[in-house]
Amino acid sequence: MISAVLIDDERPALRELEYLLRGTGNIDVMGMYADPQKGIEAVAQLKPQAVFLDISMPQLTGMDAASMILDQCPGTHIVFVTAYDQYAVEAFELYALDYILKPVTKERLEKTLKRL
Amino acid sequence: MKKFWCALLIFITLFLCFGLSGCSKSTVKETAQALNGTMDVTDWDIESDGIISLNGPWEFYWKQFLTSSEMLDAEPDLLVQVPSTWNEYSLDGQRLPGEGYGTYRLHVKTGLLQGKILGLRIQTFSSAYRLFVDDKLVAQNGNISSTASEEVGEYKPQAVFFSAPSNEFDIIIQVSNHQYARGGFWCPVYIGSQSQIAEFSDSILMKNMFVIGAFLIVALFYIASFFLMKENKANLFFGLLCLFAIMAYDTSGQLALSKTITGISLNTVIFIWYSSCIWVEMFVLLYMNELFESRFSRIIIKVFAVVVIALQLLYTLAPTQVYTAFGRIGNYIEDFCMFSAAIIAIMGAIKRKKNGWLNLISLIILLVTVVHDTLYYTNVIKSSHGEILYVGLFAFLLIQMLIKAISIKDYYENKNTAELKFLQAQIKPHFLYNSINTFISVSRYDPDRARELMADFSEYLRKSFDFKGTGQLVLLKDELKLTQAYLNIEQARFEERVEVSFEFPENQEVMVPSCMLQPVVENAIIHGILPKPEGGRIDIRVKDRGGALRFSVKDDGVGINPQEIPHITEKYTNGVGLANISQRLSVLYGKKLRIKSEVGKGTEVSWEIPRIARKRRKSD
Repeated sequence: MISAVLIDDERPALRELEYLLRGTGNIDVMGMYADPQKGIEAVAQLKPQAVFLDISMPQLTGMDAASMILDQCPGTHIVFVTAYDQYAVEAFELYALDYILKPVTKERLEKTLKRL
Repeated sequence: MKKFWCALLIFITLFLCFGLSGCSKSTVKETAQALNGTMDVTDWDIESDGIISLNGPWEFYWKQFLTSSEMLDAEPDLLVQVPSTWNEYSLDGQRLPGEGYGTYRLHVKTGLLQGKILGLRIQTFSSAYRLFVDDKLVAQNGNISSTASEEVGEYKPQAVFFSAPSNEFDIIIQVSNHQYARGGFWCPVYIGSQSQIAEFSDSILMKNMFVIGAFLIVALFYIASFFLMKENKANLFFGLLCLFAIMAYDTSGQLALSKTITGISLNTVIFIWYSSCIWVEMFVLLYMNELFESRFSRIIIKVFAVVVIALQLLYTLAPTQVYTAFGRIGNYIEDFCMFSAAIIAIMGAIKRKKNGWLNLISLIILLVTVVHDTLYYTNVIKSSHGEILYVGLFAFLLIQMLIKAISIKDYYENKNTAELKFLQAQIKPHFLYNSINTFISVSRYDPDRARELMADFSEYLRKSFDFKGTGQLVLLKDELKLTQAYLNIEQARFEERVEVSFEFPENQEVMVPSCMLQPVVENAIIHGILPKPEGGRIDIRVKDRGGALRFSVKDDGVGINPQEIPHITEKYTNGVGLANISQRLSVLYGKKLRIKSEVGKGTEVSWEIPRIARKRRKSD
């Protein structure tokens, strides 16, 4: 089982991702956060192996959130989940493990899990 | 690539300068010079040497109208170098005034046979003259007189023909001036064979009409462009500049247009000449200001506007003789204006503004030809090309048209990109995918809600994709539906973080510009409310105030820094930003978005549009 924290400022999106991840049977979702600030704090405490992170959040962009997480817990696997692929290059420069597009499909998510 | 075009342009212009001017006036023989009132051109082979100018020292008799026979007993007062005005002459240690009359005489010795038909090309004398060959009256402009009341001034350049009375003859010119501040023999007179003078005269007229025709077409084109696209004032200024340039060019030169108006008085011609010159200068500055606006150019046009109005009042109210006495001041003002225009153009070029260099090149070419002609007329340089101003003017027009063509190209490119950007912004892939993701999620636990959301979504797409242009009007009802559909989706995405209250007028059957309310609401959500973790509330109000509809979108979000506000309404961002809406408002109604904001408290964006009742169509 891989432990994971999900951060996205849209709650329906969190629910959907959780639904899909649980469906794979390999992921233990430790927490879901619609407030990215709270999400980062939780990651520092829970120390999950992976963080699924939305990029476009008006309060705090996913890019900044990822740097903060990697500062606190180096080695955390970051998986960006976003609706639009304009940030792909920047994301991989941050050593992101993967970059997946919403709406997420089960098949695509299984590929990501193989990398973990 | 730019450099290549510049080089090509300079090459073409130089080619035009030397090519065109070379073929027109190179036949004027420059070597002949009058000597002490006599011009000895016995070696003049008229057919091969061509036209000669009668420049040089002429005998001058002040305050006398003399004929050939009376000259025998008279002693000239002076030997004067012509062409020149008699204000430059001194008699008994006194400068002559501009007003007065006198007679010029030149004795010409030729090797021609008696009865040979010769021609004279005469520009103008200020203000009236009679020209005799020996005793025979050959040419006349106006009516000369020793008194102001009896004089009728006239400027009419002409070519006249006479048969040589013998191989030697006198050319006697009686001139009077009571109209203009400077009088006398101020333009050269040319002599040649009948066909040469006729051809010379035609070529002057042809060049003249060519320049006037070119300016006229360009003027009409620019003015028409202005009426089709009123926000571009540069077009109007350039068009008017061209029109006034035609008037100034014609009244100071060949009067080809002016003399077609019968009964036009000399005073009127001079009035048009002087007035059009200052307006040319004014419009040059206004045009430059439109192209390369800076603080300097704004100050200059204000200063110059005052000067122009003052001068125009002077020209209108004062008699001709009074204001033409300010000729030199007028020249200084002209120099000052051209100098300022040059500085504005240079600043534009240095700041790398659009077409700055091209514009500067056109001015430089014009300036070179003006300087050339000034030096040519003041006999500082000799040139086989004669005057080249008209080539300079033509090159100037050519380059300005090129600039115009570039701006038309840019306009269409910008327009296409702007429309494309708008469409792209309306599609907002980010919003689309997130919305669909939301529907998928909601469908798992609330299928009915998901169905409703998808209906909203199609409503949103339909209205957004319907956008046909910035001027499109839609029913307020539809604009509100679009906003409502959009808000339903956002509330599904962000749940309790987006709270909304509405206040709409009862009558929603009025026309409003499409896609204005929804982008402002979207802006309030993304930049106002969502940055706050707890979210916030939006109040959307549309009020019918009789003559106008007032829209207001108020949020209690993070607010905008006061310094940022001007940027928000001016700078284009990706999306249908507030700048886009503000610009559309100003194009449609000459109004702007009002933004009130306080950091930490929230923002209110409001705007007003005139209330337009729904158009009744036949199909309704």
